[in-house]
Amino acid sequence: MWSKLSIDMEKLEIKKEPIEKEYKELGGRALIAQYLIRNVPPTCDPLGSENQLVICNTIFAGTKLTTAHRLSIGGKSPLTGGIKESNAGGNAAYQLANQGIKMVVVKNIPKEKGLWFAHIDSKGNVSLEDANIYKGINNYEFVEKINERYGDKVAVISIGIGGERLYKSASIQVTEFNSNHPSRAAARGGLGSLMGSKCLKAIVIENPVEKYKVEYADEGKFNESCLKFNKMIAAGAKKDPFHNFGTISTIEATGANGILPVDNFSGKLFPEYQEVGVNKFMTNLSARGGRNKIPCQPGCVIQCSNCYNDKDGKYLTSGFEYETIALFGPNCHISDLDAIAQMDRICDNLGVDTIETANAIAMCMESGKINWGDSEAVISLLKEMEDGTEFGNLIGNGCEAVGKHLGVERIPVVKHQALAGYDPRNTKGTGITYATSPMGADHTAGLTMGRAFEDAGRTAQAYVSNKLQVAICFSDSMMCLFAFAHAANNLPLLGELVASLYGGEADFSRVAAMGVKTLLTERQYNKMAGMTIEDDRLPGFFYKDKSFATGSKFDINDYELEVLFDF
Amino acid sequence: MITVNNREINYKIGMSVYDALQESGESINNMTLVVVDEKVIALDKLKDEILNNGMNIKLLHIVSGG
Repeated sequence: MWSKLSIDMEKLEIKKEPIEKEYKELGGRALIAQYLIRNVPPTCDPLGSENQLVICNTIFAGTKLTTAHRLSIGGKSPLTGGIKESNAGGNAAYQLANQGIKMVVVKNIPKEKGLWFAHIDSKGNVSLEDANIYKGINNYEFVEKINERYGDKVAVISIGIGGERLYKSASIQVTEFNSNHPSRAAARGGLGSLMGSKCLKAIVIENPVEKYKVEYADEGKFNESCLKFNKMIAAGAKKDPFHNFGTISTIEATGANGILPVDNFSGKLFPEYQEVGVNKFMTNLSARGGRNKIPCQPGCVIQCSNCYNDKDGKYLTSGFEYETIALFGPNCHISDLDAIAQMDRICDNLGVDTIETANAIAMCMESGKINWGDSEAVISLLKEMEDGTEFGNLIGNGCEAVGKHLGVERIPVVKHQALAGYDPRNTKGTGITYATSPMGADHTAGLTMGRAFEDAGRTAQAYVSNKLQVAICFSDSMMCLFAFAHAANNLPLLGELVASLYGGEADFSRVAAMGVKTLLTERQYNKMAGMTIEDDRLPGFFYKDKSFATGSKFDINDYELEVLFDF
Repeated sequence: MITVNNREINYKIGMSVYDALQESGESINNMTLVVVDEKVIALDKLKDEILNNGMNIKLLHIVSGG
C-alpha cells in the first residue's frame, strides 16, 4: 500500500504512514486539490504555519507508463495567494515511487531558526538532517555536495537562495535523470519560498534496495493497455518537434505568427527570432558536444530535454526551454542564445522561476533602468539577486513587484503571476486560459495554440480553453503534458488504465469527472481565499493596445470569461 | 528523388520546398515545422529554399507548448 511521508517542522518529526483511503486513487494535481481544500485554510498566510507543502506522484506512479513519474508540488501560493500546483520532471518522482511513497506533506514551522533536509535511505528509513552547513548554497553546488555524501544515485528536490530568502519567484528544483543536474523546475507560483518558510532545504531520496510493488486490480490488463499507450506515445513522439529538437521548436511557430512576446508584450514582431531558434540551437549543440533527445525521467519517450554547452564546450545548462528563451530573449530584445543559456543556468542555480524573473527584467527595460537587448546588464541584475542587494531582492519578488516599484504601466500578470511566452492577443484561447485558470497566467493550464487557430472565432477559442483546462487537470494527475498531447488520440485508453489499476468501470467519463472536479475544487479554493471575478481578467493593455504584428486586441469580454465554467 | 514525410517524389532541377510540398499533397498550417535535412525552414521562405536531389523533408506539427 502506498505511504505518505509527514514532516512536522515544529516538532522536527518525520514519519511514514499509510496514505489515507480518500487519496488512494488520486495523484498529481487532483490529489493536491483535494488535500489542500481539506487541510489548508484558504485564508492562511502562505508563508505561515498553516500552509502546507505537498509533494506527490501521479496516479500511475510505480508503473511502466511512459512519463508517469512527473512530480507535482502544491500549496497556497505565496505569489498568487491562491491554490497552486506546479509540476516537474526529473528523477525524484521515480525514486519516491520506488520507495513506495505517494505523497510528502510538510507542515508547520520550526520554533527556532535553522535549516534541515529530509533523507530517505536505501532501506526506506526516513530522517530529518541538519542542513545548516548548506545554508546559502545554491542548487548546483548543493547537489554536488549531496552526491559526495550519499553517492550519485540519489534524487534531490531542493531550493537555492531564492527559496531560503522567501522570494515570491522561488522555484523548487529537481535533479534530472542520469545527469543529476538540478535543472528541472517546479517553477511557477513561488512554491520554493513555501518550502523555504518551512526551513526545509531539500528532500534527498536514495534508490531503495527493495522496490515498491504496485498493487493492481488487473495487472495483466494494465500491462496490455500500458504497452498500447506507450506505443501510441512513441509513435506520436517521432513526429513531435519536442522530441526532434526540444521545446525551443515552439519559437518557429510563435515567432512567425505574432504570438512570441517581444519587448514586454509590445505586440511587435522580432524578425531575428531564428537567431534564438532551432537551427542556431542545433548548430551550437553539434559544434560544442551538447545533446538533445534526453529523457528527464526514466522511461520517457518524448525526450525533450537537452544539455547545452558554452562556446568552449563546457557544460552550461540543461532543460533549456522555450519559455526561458522567449522571455529572456525576444521579450527583452535579446538575440544571443548563449547569453540566454547563462541566464537559465543562473535561475536554476538560485532556484527562481525563469518566466517570472525574465518578465521582471523586462520591467527594468520598459522603465529605462537598463536598455532593451543589453544581456550584460541582465546578467548583472541576476548577480544582484544572487548577492541579495535591495534591488536584487525586489527582482526575486517577481514581475509585478518590480513593475510597480519602477512605475511601469504595462505589467503582464494575472493573479500576480507573470504571463508565459505567448501573446494573448494572437492566441486568444490561451489568453482565456491565462485569465481564468486558477493557477494564474499559466500556459501549461491550457495552451490552445496548437488546437484553435485565430480564424476559428471567439466561441471556438473559449470552447478549446474550457476543454483543455479540464483535460489538463486530469493529465497533470497522470503524466507529462507532452505525452498527453499524443494520448488525446485515444482517451478511452486512460479509462482502461485507471480501471485495471484501481478496479471499477473502464470508462473515460471517470477520468473526465476527475478533471472537472479538480478544476472546480481549485476555483472554489481561490474563491474562499478571497479571489473574485476581477481576478479572472488580463491586464488592461491587452484589451486596449493592438498587436502591431496582426492588428488584434484581446477582445474576449467579461461575460464570456465569466460563463466559461458554468457547467 | 526527394522524400516528404518518408514518401518519395520526383526531383526536378530548381524545385523549391514549396514545390515539393505541393507535389506531395502534404498540407501545412501555421503550427507546422518544415524541416529539410534537419534544418528548419521558415514558412515564409519555402519558395526561396531550393532543394538538391536526395534531400529529405519532414513535417512536424506543434500540438503543445512548454
